[in-house]
Amino acid sequence: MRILVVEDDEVLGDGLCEGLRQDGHTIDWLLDGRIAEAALEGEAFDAVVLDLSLPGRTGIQVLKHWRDTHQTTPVVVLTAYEAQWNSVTLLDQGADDYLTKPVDLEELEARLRALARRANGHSDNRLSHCGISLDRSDRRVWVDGTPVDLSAHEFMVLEALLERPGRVVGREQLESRLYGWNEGPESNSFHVLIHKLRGHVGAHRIETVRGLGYRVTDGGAS
Amino acid sequence: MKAQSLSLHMRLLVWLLILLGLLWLVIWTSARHTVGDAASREVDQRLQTAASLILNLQIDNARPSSLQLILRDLLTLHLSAPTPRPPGFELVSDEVGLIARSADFPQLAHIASPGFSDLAVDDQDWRVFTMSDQGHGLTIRVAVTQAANDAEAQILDDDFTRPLLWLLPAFVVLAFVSVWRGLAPLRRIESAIAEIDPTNPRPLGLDASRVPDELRQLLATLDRLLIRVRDVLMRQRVFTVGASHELRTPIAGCRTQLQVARRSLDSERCKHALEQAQHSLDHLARLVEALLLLARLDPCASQLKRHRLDLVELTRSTLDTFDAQGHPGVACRLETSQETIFIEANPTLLETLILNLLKNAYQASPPDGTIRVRVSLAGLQARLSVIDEGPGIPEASRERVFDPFHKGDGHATSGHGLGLAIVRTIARVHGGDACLRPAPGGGTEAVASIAVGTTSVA
Repeated sequence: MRILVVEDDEVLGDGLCEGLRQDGHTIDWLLDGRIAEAALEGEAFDAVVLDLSLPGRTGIQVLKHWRDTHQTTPVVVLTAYEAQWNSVTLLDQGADDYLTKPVDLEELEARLRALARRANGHSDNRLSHCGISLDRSDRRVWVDGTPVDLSAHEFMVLEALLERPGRVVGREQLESRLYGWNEGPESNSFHVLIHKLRGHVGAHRIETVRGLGYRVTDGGAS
Repeated sequence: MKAQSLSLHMRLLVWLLILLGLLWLVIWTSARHTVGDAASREVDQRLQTAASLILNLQIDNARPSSLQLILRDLLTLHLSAPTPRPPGFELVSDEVGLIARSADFPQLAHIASPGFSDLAVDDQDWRVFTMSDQGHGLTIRVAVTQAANDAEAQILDDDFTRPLLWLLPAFVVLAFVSVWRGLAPLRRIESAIAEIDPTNPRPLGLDASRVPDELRQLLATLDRLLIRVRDVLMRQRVFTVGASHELRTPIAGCRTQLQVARRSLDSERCKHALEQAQHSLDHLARLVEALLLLARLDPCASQLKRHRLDLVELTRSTLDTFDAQGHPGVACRLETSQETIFIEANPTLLETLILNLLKNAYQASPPDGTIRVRVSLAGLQARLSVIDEGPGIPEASRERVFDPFHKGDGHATSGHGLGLAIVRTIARVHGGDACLRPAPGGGTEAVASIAVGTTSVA
């Protein structure tokens, strides 16, 4: 998943980003409320981790701005202010979930997974299409019942494709999910990645739609 | 509070009852006395009337045979209403001796003195009236038993004293009612005070027109106290919320970094995470130190140790310490017209004050900026100014930045938000204060004043 972390404390922010990266997500990190307000425009994040006490704008203001401008990205709020902002206020302001600091990384990851799958209309962590099964929580993939080992990036691409089975996912979308803002992809590394993924799951299952992107299909049927 | 209010009721009631009881006793005694006197007078008057009646009858109509009957009828008519027995009588003539004597008249021949007298005959007390008519040579004696007198007294007693007995319970009821009604405002105030929520006190807000004059001042004082308590609580709450946030953030950072370190397979990443955790712990340690310092500086805490020290010298050495801590890109300059300024102060605290102001100025300073530190003497106050060339602080925020955990906009990660609160508290325990004002030509001037104490300039 591509996740935006908005946290002004450098140590905590660094820890959250590093921890989520270890879990195989692509992370972008912002420290300022004002910048965060505009961050969702034109960028596709799967989830946001938002701290409440931010310089520039408070987390609540940022959240309200997003919801007012119809940004529906799922948001998990991190709060140390349980007295000031109770859970009811937070959820009513448009938060999808909240965690009180100090945060347990595994819990945060589980909640982010839950939000992402709900946002895509799934009820569990298992995504299946055309003989490919993917489990988000223990990050395993089966093709026709046989376990397959994928790298983190391969897993992310496959996850993105399986989230919208049969629909075309653009290359830019996949790339932003893989690399975020900081690490730019090398020129043909994406093609290499797709090639490797095809090698693992069967070339016919991932179809290139020229000019648009990729999709998972049942190769035999099309 | 309840027990005390009741005891006030009780005390008033007891006093009122004692007072009313005494009053009743006085009224009752005097009524009894008056009734006794009136009864005696009444009996005496009756005896007198009877005596003169008999005498006149005897003189007008000297037929003793019918006399007794007439007398009996008359006297019975006259006296029977209150007294069951008519008085006995004896009519004696100087010439013929006894003319008439009623059967119940005691043998009192030896009595000759005119007027009223009390006699005891045959175990009975008698009231006798003797009257003589010198012209006709007649002497009349009329007598009633004391029992008759008592009966008369009893009737008067029934008429006048008995109602006083009814007054006694009426007094008790009245005492209860007046104490209860009189102390009603007190009970109202008591219940208003009892309703105060100790975690959220607010002024009582009682209608002043319904409060007795004596209590109005007390209530005004109480209201002022409640407002102050509310302010203190509010500040305490803000402080607690701030402290919990400031304490939790480094703990959260440290915890997350340790989790990252535990899961890291790459030793470089693990090392980085551990360093970050260490960084958080250092921050936490500084924060705890600052909180403990603030707690120690509490005005209620014990007196701090003061020495006579030279503020100019202390400022100079603190600037050296600050430079040694490594603050590149900014020059610090000490400006003072005094060689020495001796003050009574705690050197460690003053050094903390100066360092905090320098750190603030450093954070606000632009690259290659200058921080000017001015030490001067104004009357009985030594004044320390730290002037930066930063963007300045808007007037609206200049007072708020002294609140604990207040962080100005834009200072994202600097410090723990206690620096200026500590500066102000240190200045105040040294008999001074701290404030911010705009420096000429932009920037901020932080001014801390400190009372010079007993010693002065050299």
